[in-house]
Amino acid sequence: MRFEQIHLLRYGKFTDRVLDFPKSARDFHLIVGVNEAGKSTTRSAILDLLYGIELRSTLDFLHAKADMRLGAHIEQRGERLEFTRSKARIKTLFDADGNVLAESALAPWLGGSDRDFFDQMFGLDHGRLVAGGNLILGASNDIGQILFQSAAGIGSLGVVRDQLQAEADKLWSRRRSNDRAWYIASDELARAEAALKAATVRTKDWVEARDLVLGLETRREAARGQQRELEGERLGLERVRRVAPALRQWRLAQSELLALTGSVPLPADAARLQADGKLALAAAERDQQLHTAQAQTISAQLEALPLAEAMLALQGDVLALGERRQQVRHHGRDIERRQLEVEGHWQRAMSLALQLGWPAQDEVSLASRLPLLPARAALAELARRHAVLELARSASLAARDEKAGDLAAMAAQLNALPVRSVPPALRLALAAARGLGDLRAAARRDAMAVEKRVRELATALAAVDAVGVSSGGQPADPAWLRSLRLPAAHWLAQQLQQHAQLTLTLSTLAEQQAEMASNIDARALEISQYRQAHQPVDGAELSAARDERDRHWRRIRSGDGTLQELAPGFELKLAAADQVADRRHDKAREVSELQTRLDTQERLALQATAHAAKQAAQRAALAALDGDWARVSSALGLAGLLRRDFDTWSAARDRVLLADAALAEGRQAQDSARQEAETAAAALRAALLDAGLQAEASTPLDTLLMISGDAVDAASDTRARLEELTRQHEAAGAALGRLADKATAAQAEFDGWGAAWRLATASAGLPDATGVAAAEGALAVMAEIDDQLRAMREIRHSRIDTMQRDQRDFGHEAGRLAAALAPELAGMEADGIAIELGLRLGHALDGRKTLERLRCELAQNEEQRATASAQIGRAQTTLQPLMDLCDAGSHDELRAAIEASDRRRAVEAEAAAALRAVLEGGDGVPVPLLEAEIAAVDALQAPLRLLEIARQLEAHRQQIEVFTGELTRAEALLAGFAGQDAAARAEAERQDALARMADAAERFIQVHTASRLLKWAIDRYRETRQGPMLTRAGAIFAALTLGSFQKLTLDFDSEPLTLHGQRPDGTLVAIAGLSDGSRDQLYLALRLAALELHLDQGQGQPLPFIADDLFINYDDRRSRAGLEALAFLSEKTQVIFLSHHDHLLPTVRQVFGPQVNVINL
Amino acid sequence: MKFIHTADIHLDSPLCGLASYQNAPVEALRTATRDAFRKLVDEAVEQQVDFMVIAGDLYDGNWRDYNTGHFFVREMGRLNQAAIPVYLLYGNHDAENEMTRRLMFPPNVFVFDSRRPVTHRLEAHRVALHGRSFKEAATLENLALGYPDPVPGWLNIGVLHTALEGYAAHARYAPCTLAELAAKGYDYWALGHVHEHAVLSESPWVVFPGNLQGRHIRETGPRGAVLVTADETGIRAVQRLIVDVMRWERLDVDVSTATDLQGAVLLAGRALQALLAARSDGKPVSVRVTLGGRTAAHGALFGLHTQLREELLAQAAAMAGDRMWIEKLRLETTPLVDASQISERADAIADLQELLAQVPLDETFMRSLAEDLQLLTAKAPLELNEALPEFKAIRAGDVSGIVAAVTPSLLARLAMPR
Repeated sequence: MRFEQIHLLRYGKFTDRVLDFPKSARDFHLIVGVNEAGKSTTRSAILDLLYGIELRSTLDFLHAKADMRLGAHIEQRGERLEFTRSKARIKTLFDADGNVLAESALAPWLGGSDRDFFDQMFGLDHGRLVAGGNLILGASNDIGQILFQSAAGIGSLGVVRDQLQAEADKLWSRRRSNDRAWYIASDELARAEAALKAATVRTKDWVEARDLVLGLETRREAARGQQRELEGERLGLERVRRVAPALRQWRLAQSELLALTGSVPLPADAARLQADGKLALAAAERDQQLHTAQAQTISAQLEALPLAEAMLALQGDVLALGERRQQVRHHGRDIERRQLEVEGHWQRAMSLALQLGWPAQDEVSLASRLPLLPARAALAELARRHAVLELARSASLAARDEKAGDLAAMAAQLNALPVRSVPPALRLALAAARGLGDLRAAARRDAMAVEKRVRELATALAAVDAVGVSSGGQPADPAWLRSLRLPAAHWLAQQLQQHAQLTLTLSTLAEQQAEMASNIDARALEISQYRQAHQPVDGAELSAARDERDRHWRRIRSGDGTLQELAPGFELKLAAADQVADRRHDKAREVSELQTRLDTQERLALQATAHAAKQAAQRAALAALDGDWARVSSALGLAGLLRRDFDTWSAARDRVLLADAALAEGRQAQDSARQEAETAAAALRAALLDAGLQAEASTPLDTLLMISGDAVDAASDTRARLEELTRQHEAAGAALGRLADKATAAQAEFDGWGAAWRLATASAGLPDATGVAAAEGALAVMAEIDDQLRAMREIRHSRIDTMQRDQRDFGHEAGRLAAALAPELAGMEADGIAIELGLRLGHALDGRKTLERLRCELAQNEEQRATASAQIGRAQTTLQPLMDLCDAGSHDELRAAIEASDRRRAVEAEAAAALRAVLEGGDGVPVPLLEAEIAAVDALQAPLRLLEIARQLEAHRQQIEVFTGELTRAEALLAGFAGQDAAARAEAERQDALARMADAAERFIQVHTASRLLKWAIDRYRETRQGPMLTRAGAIFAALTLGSFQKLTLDFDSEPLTLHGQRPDGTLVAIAGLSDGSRDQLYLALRLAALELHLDQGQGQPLPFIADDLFINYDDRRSRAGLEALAFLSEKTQVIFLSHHDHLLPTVRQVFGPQVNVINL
Repeated sequence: MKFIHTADIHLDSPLCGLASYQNAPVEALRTATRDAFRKLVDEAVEQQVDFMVIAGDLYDGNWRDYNTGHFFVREMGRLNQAAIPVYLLYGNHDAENEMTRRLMFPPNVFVFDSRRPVTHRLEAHRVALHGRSFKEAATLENLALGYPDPVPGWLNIGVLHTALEGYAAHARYAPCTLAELAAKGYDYWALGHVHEHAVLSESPWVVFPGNLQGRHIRETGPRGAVLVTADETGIRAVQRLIVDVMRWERLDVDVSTATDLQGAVLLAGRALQALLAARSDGKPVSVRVTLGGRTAAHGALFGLHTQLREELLAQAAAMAGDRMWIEKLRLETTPLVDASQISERADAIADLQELLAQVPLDETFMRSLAEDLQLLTAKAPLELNEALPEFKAIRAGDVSGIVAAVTPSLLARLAMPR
């Protein structure tokens, strides 16, 4: 498929732009444009045209996505298709009449390609070139990878292989590693299995644990019973020892209480109450006296204290006067400073007025002398416009004069231009000759095609010879092969089928025969072993024994000897025969079995014989079939050709005949091209002579093309120059008229400004001849005078007047307060009045504070005196009930009654404590029983018995402790079997680990297999592709490096194979040793070679090759070499070369001829 | 009157095929079968059922931990406190488990004899339960034939652990036919052994309740027992009681519109979201995600399988926290460009495809690959042989299936645009 036209209808920056790609022998097209001219857009358009506009296209900045349109005329083997492509989800393709085309309409034109494939395989730019060079470096140890990546235009092979290997390594490897998923899971599996084993409780374990617990419980309970008995005895003895003394104490207390029956019971704290009451009474009486004396002293102080009530009434006014004094204290000095500032401004205004030439005057006169603001503003605006108008006037006059000079120069050039032309016949002959394309290249290509077909024929003939037969011992030739009349295909097929059947049958029969023989041998062995094992007696042996016996009997009967002589022998034989008969009887079952086996053996032998006969018949049939084939092959002159090789030979023959026909066709095309070239040369030569140019009969067609091309180009250039100059002259005349009009208008505007200026200076009071600069200076001075006068007014109004008013108010207030509070101060300065009144107010406030404090103290003293009186009353009230209770008349009588009461209480407490001790220590046993128990115990023997009991108890305690410890452990063990889920959890974890091992294994199988497959395939790819691809790539590489390298070679001694560039002197340079530029060139060479091979195979659809600024870093010579490589490619498929270097154009014309198609964007 | 019919409890049987990862609800599901059974007992107590029937396979046959039996006894104790009798029949798994003979049940548990069919009678409800436990796992005789005649005027329930004809997926233990069961004249056949819930007949009722808790991806959907309501006229209703604590689901996602890994993840994420939205029970779910369809992303998905899985796990975690477990991610996508289209292009990839087609003919390579992979299988536990069909093939030295499966993916991966 090739493009004839590409229509950039509404796409990116383009609107209705058509790119033409006329067909020629070298289908090469150069698209040139500076940056931003639209090269990338064009490249994108080609992809979008063929495979649909991308959903997220960014080329909608001028035309909305819905309006984007592309179109093309494409051609393929004489068929043409015109279509347009729009941006939509469906129905994006339309034919020339606007009818919808199926989305698959382009499929026959694009082969099986998709967008990515086309871009990778048929697109190459500088970036990919550099990336490809780097990939080659990265894969320098793998020639298979280099070839594949270059051929496929992809760089992912190494990455994919590395990823696969890396992932496989993370999953599993023979070498154990804690980083590998398999082993991590495997370790967890082992842990889970150990946990499962530890947590699993077998039924047997549970039964044993339960029985152990029951046994220990029984034994411990028995020991505890004995312990309880001993403990009871020990408690009784301990009770007697504990209770006996207390019981005696209780009895003694009871006796003393009887003696204290007459005393009056008083409260337990009666003694303390009596002492406290006496102390409180004395203290309260002392306080009462003290507070009475203090009250008299304070009352005297209050009566002596004076109070300034008038001053306190005007306290606020006096304080305000003090604050105002602080405010106006510095006003005097401030007023003097402001008046000096006013004077300064006035002096400045006066000096400015002198600059304007105004005489010395007062402030009002000066203010009235200043022009009004509107007059000053009008003057300033006119001064600003002056420069603009002057510049416009002078510029327009200069432009008018310059254009007039240009016009005169163009007229002179037009008059000096020569006139050249060529006849139409020469143009026609030149076009016809160019239409034949690059004849040298075509001839070279035809010659190469013929050579290639000669090689193919030789290869095909070699393949025929390789089968091993030929005509009369000579190598095969096409004529002989064509003359052969081969046997019918169905006959051959029948022969092959019969042969195969017979061979198969024979093989089967042989296997069966071998099996039978083996069976027969096995049976024989069985029979032999059976005989040895069971010793069966067959009829022959019995007959032989009986015959021997009978023979001896016959000898006796015949009188061969005496009875005495022969009888022992006969008896022996008789016994032997009987013994054999008995054995035969005993072994009847074994005999029968032996006979069965013998019969089987015989049957097998018969079957083997029949089988052998069948085999012989099959062999004869096979020999007859081979004879038939030998006769037929000899008749063909192919004696010795095996029947199974005939198909191979026949296919090789067919390839020879096809190659021979192709060679004849190639040679015919070569002759036809040569004849067309000669005709074109003759026509061109005649046309040159007619045009008056030199053309010898021996001049070759190339030279004729160059001469006639130069003549036609010169005539075309002259005509174009004349037309351009004429157009420029006309344009310059029109421009001159427009510039003259502009100059006139500028002058008129400038004159109008002069009149206005004069009026303005007059209204501002300036002299008539005042210039712009002088007027601007005067306006500035006037503005400053205005500022100074305004500042003077501002200071007077807002500062000086305000301060003077404050001073007056302060004096009035001081006088008023002095008259009201201190008439003796009349006549003093306001400042002094304010200070004095402030001092007097301070004294009045201190007096009022002292009065309030004394009043407060007096009130407190009254309260304390009342409190003391109340305390005296309470103390007397506390003691009186005690005295009444014991009928005491004095504090001494009360003290004696209290002592008797306290003694009785103490004896009662002792009796109660003794009884409590008896009850507490008696374990609840009633007192009479306790007394009986005490009486029953031998006090002397009790300690010894207690020691014995303690010893026995200790022994039992230790035993119970042992049982308890064992039981605790046993119970813990049994309690451990309480339905926990530890084992279930461990099993779940085990399944978890297994699942992760399964995941790792599954993935490992995939990636490891993929990795192995990739390596295997790339090795095979290298084996099949390295020859032709490296040969062609080496040639291109040599050209691109300008002979710096001669070819590409492989180092077969290295493992893996490595690629080298070979210098003309034989030096080998490894890829790592190549410069960056050489590696890029190597990648380009490999890509172009792969593309050529791809196209030569004729399987894939030839699609346009899009090269985008490939030679950015190439000098002119290398660029030319690169273009020549593309020239070769352009003979196989269309090449569209995008570049922003217009300096490539001469090189392109040198390589592709001047007629090469160049599109300027 | 109402009772619960359950079977195939398989206490402490683990959930299989779940590989844990961060955020997976691991701990909550380690004891799923116990939790499901505990819920069933809760239901029985709450609904105050009159009795419970267990139709076999209380445990897994090879499970040895006595704690499992202890747990079961404890749960029976709860039913005892609620005065709910239990009629327990042993199945093939129970028969080969030594716990069966040793467990001491509370008085509310009545076990069916394994030597002969017996009838347990509930006088209060006039219910007769007929059944016979398995004596040994491989019980191949038709036990149903020996069951006694129905008690006239009573509700007769046959309890039987059987591989009823037609269930080829289960071992053919105690085989019988539906017609034979119907001929017995019982009102209800409480069956066990088949793990899928099925009501095979309503006259009489023949019911498989299914197992209580799905344990692997082949046991998808809700699981539980049945609640049977009856009165003097017979069975009135049979209603499912769903008690499982987590579900297994298969999620097939068509990623044919995806062009890269992220696109596929997006589609899978949407599908997971839809799955979650369609579920209202709030139970954790273990999902097997299978990506399918003819997609441009096939090569990327194959090459970046690990990353794809991680992305999917992250999506699941973001959506459902610990309520969703991605059991496995399977790739069943096919390349957008098929083999014939690649051949038509006649480029290097096509050459590679043609070469790879020859791989199975290279016996040396195939043998070498098989030996490589056998190193892995030799180190694998035997249980993985069952889990991974590839292992059997590798051990048999046949890797042709693996090569055939991997080749298109590898080509698609190589042909991915840069």
